[in-house]
Amino acid sequence: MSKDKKKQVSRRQFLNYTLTGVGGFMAAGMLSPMIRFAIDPVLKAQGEEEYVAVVEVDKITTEPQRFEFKVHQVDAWYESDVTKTAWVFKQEDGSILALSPICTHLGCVVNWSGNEDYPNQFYCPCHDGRYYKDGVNVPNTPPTAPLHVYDHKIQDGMLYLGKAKPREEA
Amino acid sequence: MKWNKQDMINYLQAKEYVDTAILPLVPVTFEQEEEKQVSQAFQKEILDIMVHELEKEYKGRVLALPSYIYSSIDLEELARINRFTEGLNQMPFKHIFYITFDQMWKMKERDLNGILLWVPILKEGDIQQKDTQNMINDQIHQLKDLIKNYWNS
Ligand code: FES
Repeated sequence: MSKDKKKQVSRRQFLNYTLTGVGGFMAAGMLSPMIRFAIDPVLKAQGEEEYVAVVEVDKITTEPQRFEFKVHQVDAWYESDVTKTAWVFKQEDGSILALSPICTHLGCVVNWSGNEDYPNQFYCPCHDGRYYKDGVNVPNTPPTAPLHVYDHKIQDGMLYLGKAKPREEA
Repeated sequence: MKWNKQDMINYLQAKEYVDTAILPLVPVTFEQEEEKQVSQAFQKEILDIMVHELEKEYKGRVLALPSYIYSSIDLEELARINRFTEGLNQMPFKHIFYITFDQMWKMKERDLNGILLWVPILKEGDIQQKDTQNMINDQIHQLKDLIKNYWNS
């Protein structure tokens, strides 16, 4: 909250400076990024990956489940909280896999077991794209790349997810 | 896909895959009581959320157009919207959905050249409230199914 307030003030200052003249304008130009760095850890930690707590590890089964989590996103004009989803499950070797639900064909949302005929695959309703459980695209369906995989880490029994990245081909 | 530069570039390259257009029909009228204007704006806000969610789910197959604004539904308006729809038909789109909360369209459904998805949206409420959110989510869910059924039929 106080973070927001400070930002508002800095915006108003910015305007004041602008109205005061070019000198003021330049000062504001130098000052406002400094304020932003001081108060906005997200900006400061640029390059470093943000992880978000998603679910307790003991809730994760061998069957893919859909979990939602919120990430804070800063675009050119907007800041917003965006809801992301992941299909999460335990693989045979016990390790956890968290897949992005975004079809690599044209970006629709895929569902586990989304088509009765293929109960053990991810299914994309848009153009019948399919993926095996491990996220690899089924040949001869529209997608040409596997589902992206979220970076993850486990801390104190919680699963944290980072960014979804294209899978490196095996 | 959305009506923005990047998505339009993608759309033009993948046209054969994007066979569905969604056009939100939004009434904007000023000659009425203030509280009605407030609810009009509120309903529009919720409609935007719905379209946003539909677009997100079906990004690769759907083009979500900007709102189509009108003030009253008369013969002239019907001609205008059907002309507009004709343009969409030429793109071509196989499925053209109008989405609206204005029940007046419901009565004109037969005169429309696209498929009308009429959603009864609350006239007032608070989007920050859980109940409202749940209800909207339910409606979004139904809309997703409905569109999928049209595709599969
Ligand atoms: S977007 Fe998934 S198959 Fe085309």
